[in-house]
Amino acid sequence: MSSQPKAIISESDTTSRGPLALLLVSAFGWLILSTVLSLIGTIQLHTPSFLASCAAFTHGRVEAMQESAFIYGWAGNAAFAVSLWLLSALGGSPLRGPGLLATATAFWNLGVTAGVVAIAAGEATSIPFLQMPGYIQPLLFVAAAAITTPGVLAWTGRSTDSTYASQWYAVAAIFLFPWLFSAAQVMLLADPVHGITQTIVAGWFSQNLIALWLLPVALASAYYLVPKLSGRPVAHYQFAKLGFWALVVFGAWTGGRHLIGGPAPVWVPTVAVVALYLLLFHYVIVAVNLPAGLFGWNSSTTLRFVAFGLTAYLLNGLGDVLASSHAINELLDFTYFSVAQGKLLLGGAFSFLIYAAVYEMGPRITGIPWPSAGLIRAHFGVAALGTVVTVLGLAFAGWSQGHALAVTANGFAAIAAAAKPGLLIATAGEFLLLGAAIIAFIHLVRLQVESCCSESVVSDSPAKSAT
Amino acid sequence: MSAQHTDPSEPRRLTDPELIQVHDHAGEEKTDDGGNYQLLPLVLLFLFSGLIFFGGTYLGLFAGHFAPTVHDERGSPMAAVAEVKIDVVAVGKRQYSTTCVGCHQATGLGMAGMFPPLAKSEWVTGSEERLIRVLLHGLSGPVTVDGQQYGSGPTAQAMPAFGPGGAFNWSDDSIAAVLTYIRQEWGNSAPPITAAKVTEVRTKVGAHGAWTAADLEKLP
Repeated sequence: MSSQPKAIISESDTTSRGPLALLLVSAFGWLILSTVLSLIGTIQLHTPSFLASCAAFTHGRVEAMQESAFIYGWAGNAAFAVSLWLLSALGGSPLRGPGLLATATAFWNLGVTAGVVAIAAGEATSIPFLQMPGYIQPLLFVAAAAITTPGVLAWTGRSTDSTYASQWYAVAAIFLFPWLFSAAQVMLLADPVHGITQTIVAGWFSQNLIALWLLPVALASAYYLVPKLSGRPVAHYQFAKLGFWALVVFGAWTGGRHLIGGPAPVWVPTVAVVALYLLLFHYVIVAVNLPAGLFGWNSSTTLRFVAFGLTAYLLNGLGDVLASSHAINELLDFTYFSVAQGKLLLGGAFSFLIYAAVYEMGPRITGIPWPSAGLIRAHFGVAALGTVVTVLGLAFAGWSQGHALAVTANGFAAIAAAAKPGLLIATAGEFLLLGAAIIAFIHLVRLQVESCCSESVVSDSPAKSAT
Repeated sequence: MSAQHTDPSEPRRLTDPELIQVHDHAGEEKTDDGGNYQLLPLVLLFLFSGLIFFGGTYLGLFAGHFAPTVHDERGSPMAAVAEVKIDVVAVGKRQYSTTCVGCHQATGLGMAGMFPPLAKSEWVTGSEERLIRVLLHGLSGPVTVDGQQYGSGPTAQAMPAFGPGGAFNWSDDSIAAVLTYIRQEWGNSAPPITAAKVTEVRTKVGAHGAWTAADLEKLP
């Protein structure tokens, strides 16, 4: 790559290029698939006959496939790529074991593919975020352990004694994920615990998989990109470690929030509600640290992704606290409102911060700029609009559904009719999200293809750098 | 780093080593010397203290004292105990009115010559142990109650066994409850019989056939 004249890139970026590109291309491929499945699922909510005659595409299986493809396909691959790249870049050394990483990535994606196919064949489990059948899970665990090994090595072999916030968040994510994943596999699938404990463990897992694995990676991306793109250090950086520990300590206790009003001993949801309130401290510190990101709407497109992601992140934190209050929870729990919250957090906060990281790391690992700045702007516009429309549509549907459910005289048809307008809006949003995912995928593939060409024919590349 | 796809008006980017270096010393040079208090640390301290105070209060009010049996936010384990407290006399009355009432009647007066009365009966209000044995193992043969003869002649009926192994197989709690009831009903006012006392008699005597009045009169 030293023959590439336009890009100033370090060795740490280019050696890991192959496996990181594999992780990213797989991630965006899964994002398209999960968005298609999500679209099918949303259409079925207001038009139940849609694809209903095909067993593999009945609503329960579509939802399970969509969730697995999104969490383990898109979010998993992307989180691995971003956390490994950040640890390698900040650790100052190339990723070790690129061969192992590429092999493990292939097995991870084979595992997720097998899991999604098994769900289509009707073998889904009933456990949220762990719906791929039990016989596939150990493969995923081993693959994940192998994928994260280079990240651990990049952390332990870092060239400086001092560390940066992005490294803490990325390291926390790659150490906490195996703990969450293995504990859940053993306690829920291999040797299931009994009775109400199962519900409590399942709640702990599904909540913490997001709070302690995916969100730390997204925050690592934000803490890395904001000072880089704005050119100014993180504001009041001395508080960043308090924010980090607040997320790790209090986030781990929020698992019981899904059990409010449920059959568990009441202290379980109550402790979770208190943990949600204490997490406000974490959100305040993120806002204090990263105002340049939060209000970076007028800067580069990459910083605009960060601004959208951080705004969604803080809104979601506030929404969690509000939705846990008894009056609101009674109205909106078990409605589409919870789905809207999930879309805001995973499709808004997590995904946008990851998109931003991908737009930063793309040129760094390939050595050439993105082929088209217009496609990046188009991706931002369509994805942002799609996310806002989907979240608002689902929230509106949940609100109407909750009010319809609260009246005992209402039959099933009346409740479904109340939610329908919101669901139609959400369907439109999902179409936009599908378009956004396709734009991003095509752009990423173009980047990879052009970087391969520029590697063999160096004289081709200067023409592209005008964008 | 690779800044060629951003427009030139943007600020110069920090390199990765610079990023670490710049933040490594962040916050060190700012001190509170000379009354120049930094407002933010105080605000964060107050915010965190406030959240901890709120959280502690919330846990105290709505965690049900962390008892595994409490499923209601406003419940308490102490209230749960109070709820299951049962009225022994009410249980005894229910037992009596479903089973005993057929012979001894709702009035507790029995039927002349066939079923002895329980009201004003020295057997009921007298020795606890005799009464418990009658219930546990039954009673047959002639018996004198309140000066009247029962259990002899062509209409004689035996008192069945209600204890373990008998046709009714009542628990010690049920037996204690029904005995307490009959000792305090129809003008009787003898002290209650506890389940512990029934257990004590049952384990002392063991399995036994129906008693006769003569057997029991030997007891204190």
